[in-house]
Amino acid sequence: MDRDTILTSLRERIVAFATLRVSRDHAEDLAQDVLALLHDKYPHVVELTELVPLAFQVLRYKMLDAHRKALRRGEYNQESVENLGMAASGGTPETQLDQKQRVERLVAALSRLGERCRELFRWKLEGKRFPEIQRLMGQKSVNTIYTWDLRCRKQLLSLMGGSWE
Amino acid sequence: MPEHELEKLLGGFAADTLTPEERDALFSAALQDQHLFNALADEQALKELLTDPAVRRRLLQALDRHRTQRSTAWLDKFTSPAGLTWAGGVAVGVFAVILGLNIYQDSLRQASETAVLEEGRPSAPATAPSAQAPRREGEIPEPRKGAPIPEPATQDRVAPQRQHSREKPVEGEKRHRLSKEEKAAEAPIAAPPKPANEKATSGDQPARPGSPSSALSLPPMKDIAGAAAGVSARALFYAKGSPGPEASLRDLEKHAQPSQAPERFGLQQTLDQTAPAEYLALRYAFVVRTSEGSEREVTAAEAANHTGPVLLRVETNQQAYLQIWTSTGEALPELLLPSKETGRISLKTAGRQRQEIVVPRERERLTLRLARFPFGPITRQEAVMAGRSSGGQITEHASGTEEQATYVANPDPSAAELAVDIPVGARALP
Repeated sequence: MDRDTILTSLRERIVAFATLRVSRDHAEDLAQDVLALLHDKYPHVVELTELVPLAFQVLRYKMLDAHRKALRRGEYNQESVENLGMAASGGTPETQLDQKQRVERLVAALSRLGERCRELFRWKLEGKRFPEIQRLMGQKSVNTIYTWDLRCRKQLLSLMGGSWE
Repeated sequence: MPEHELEKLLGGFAADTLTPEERDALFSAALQDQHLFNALADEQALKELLTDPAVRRRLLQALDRHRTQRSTAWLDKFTSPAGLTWAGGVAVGVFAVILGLNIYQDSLRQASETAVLEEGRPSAPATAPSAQAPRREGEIPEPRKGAPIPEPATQDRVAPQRQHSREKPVEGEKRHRLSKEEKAAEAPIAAPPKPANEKATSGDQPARPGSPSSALSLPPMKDIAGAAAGVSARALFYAKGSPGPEASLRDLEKHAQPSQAPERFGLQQTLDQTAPAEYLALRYAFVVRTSEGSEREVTAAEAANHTGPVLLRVETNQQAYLQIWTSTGEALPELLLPSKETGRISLKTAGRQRQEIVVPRERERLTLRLARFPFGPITRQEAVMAGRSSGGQITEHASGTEEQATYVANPDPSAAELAVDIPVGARALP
């Protein structure tokens, strides 16, 4: 799958995704902004496994930016997202506070998980991949780990209030 | 992985732990599946959070802390007073169960030992004053109660076992009549040759009861004169049944031979010390069938000269285990009783229960082994050694018109086994 095909598909999916949260016109603009950024800033990224995650990352920042603008009741931030650092290292005090609160919610949610889910999450945080986790948990099939992880993720998401934000 | 199950990879996307193959499959599917794309877009928030190493460290610390807390909480449960009480209670319970089981097993063992002793003791005495009184010379002996009615010859190697019963007066009367007839017909029979260590009764004694089943019929003084210096094997054999379990052998002897008290003093002294003991004793005799069909005990020499079948009749004074081996020359012995067909190596026999076998003429000797406990498996070579009689046991021949038997007993109450070597066939001839 070449880069143009990937970007075409991405645009279609981003519009459909953003339409669920913002208006159709705004969703079109959002998708256009994401693709423009990928085109201008990351022309060297051609691999599917790199381009798609990058698109998700850009999309999230664009949507957060739109959210902030909405919170300011029309006082739109004229600063372009292109000028923001992509790694978001450090961040504003507002971002830092938001992240801190999300981490605390996540810690609280994790403590309410079952033993197996916590163990699974811990190994993932340690960078273990599913086949490794399968061996660590003594399972014959990696599908078992996939299923357990899906259930644990849903449970954690539920404990977080239905959103990772 | 089927396309509809690619959602299961979402957890790996957030933690960035997908393999290259999983990433390729997941993102390819996300471009085709809006639902999966939406899920991935939502997961991006968590992915962003977990990308920060500080956040990862914090989450890992929280998870580790939780695990440690769980471990310490579990330990705290035991170290708390309630936990210690609970653990102590469990320990006491386990200890009590183990102790109870030990006590129970001990009681079972004691009960079984008591049962064995009780079984070995004589049954309730059926004493009759006239039977205890000394008999005068020439007096017709009391019929042998429970003596078997003559039966036709059997083809079986081992005759059916017959239990003596003192409560069978009809059989006793039959035996009484038979003994009168036999008494008139029989001439005095010479006693069998006596080994050096054996004590024999005189052969010229008038017929006396001599019934193995009749515990009331103690031997006259002359019969046990040979044993006066020591203990009479015959007396030991009958010691169990007559006066009752609590009576001493001294009482038995006193009732039987009141006039011989001075001579029996030494025996009394000895018997007093061993009165409650259970002596292991047996009685054996050769039995032939007369032309009238009745059975008659004969000497070993008579049995050797008898042309018809000769039976060896063995009785014990208590419940015990019996083996009869047969041998010829230097050949290894063979077990004759219990027979091979039974598949056993010990024949359990009750007290005063007759065991009869047909004496094999081609053999030179029989070996009787009697023990309080079942015999273990031994080789035939070992049987040769085991068949040698121990030095402590005493043998006594009782000869009379009605009785031609040999009594073997061990005056040591702790003796658990008897062994008797019996020459048969030509070797039994003087």
